[in-house]
Amino acid sequence: MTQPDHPRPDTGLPQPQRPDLPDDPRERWPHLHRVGVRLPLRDYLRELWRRREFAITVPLGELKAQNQDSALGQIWHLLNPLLLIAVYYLIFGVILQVEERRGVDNYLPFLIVGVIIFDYTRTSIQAGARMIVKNRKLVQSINFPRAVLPLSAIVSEAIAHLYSLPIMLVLVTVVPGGPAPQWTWLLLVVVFVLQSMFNLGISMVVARLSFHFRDMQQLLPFVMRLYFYSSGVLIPINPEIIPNTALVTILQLNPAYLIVEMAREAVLAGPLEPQVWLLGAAWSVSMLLVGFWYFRAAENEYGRV
Amino acid sequence: MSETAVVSVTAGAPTVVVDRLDITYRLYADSAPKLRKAFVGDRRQREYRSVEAVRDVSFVASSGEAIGIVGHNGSGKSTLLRGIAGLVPITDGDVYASSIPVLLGVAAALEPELSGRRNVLLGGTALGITRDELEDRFDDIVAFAGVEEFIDLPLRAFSAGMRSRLQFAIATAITPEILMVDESLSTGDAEFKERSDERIRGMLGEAGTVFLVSHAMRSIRDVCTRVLWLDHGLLVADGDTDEVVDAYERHVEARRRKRPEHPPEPS
Repeated sequence: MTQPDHPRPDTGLPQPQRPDLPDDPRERWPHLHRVGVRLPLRDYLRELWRRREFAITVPLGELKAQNQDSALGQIWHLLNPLLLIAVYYLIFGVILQVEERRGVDNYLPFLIVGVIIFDYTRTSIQAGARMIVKNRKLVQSINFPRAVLPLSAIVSEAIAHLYSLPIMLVLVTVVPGGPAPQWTWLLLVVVFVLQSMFNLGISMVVARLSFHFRDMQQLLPFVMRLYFYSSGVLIPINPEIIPNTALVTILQLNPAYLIVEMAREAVLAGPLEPQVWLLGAAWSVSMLLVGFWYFRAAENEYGRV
Repeated sequence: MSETAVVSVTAGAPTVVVDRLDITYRLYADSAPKLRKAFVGDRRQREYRSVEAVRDVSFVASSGEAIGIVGHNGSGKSTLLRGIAGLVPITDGDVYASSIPVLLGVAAALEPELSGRRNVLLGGTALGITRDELEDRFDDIVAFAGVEEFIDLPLRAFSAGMRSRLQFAIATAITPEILMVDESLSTGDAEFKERSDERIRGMLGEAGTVFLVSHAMRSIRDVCTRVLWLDHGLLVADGDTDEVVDAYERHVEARRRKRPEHPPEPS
């Protein structure tokens, strides 16, 4: 359906004619560039780099503004996962007694690492999903590489996560069954980098999907819940718990499981399994590349009303 | 293309070429679940309607020109600006520009909870100005906006006028080659109006191009060298400021007199 035709107003002036233009005006005026086409990859990355201050300033401001109104303020960033851990420990550790019945050693440190590490991916995906929709006005007003938006969401979550990591380390050492500080803890830096790459990649995918399908944001919490349970955060993924061995293999190949597993191996003095680290790294790199490619493919659409 | 600061064109050379531009919005008549569309195919096509905001518009703008755009509410003025700036997708036709046009729209990047100082940083970096360049120009920006006393207060404490002055000062901190001002969105007092007009004229002296959307014919006559008149997305006049503005004012006047029989459509 199109709008009805309106009579042309009587201007008393000649109707403007299309100027005499060559098919490609750039032939006549080489200094012109086409508007509304994606920048070439190199220029795009350079523009992204020029906006790095913006990508960092926004999240810092937001973090500050976010919790200003509640009494405990910033502390909520830390309190949140701690309360979650307490709830899960009560249910799975104390009531269901996973430790004795399922042969899980040292359940509390296992749970602490799992919840805190997975939470970084969960919050990143959920923040990324909102970025385009929430910043519609900005997208319609200023020309910048749109990848700045998911990037700034991840920067924000990464900063929050960097506050939780030391807390996590202190917690695992003080609870019963936790390891003493050791050199493998340095590997957490590797986990952090790989996880951030993965989070950025997947949140770009989710950002574009929730731009196309508004329902995405309603569905996301449930998808994340399912993902949480299938990534071995609460209970280990092994044939003792999941009888179907094919399913065990599939779940063990999933990136969030691998990231959580890497962190546990690093922190909880587990043996380091090279295949877990290699697979995890492969996932992170490919997720970042695929996510970036998929997000940028719709670069010029994001301003649509 | 990205260097907003460098004016690379000599006076008189084209800075913006718009060739048969169409911009059509598809608006959903209700908030129909879009996932459904993905699964069952597009059978519900009749539930959205197209709005042809800009139709077959062609013109060439040159450096040193200040182009006013006039037209009734909903005639497509703001959409045309956003299309030229590459901010909304183009449905058909081509737009070429000598550099990315800067739309005066930093407001969207600003955070009411943060101080004016941090907002200068925020708005400026959003436009791609580096931190160093911003720090060099910080005092100028603040002085030009006339908000020295307030700069460390949260932006929400600023009046609407102070906010739009700060916006203008940030957007023009580095002289963009092509500046677009959508005045239907901004406010400012008479004294600031004069200063911003002066800065716009200064830009023209440096061979920039300015687009000005305004309902105030006074501003258009003061600043512009050429005027485009849009009506329902069509370009109906393009020429000398006084000629087009006179004709447009006659048209508005005639419409006002006819209003009792033909109430204008809501915009």
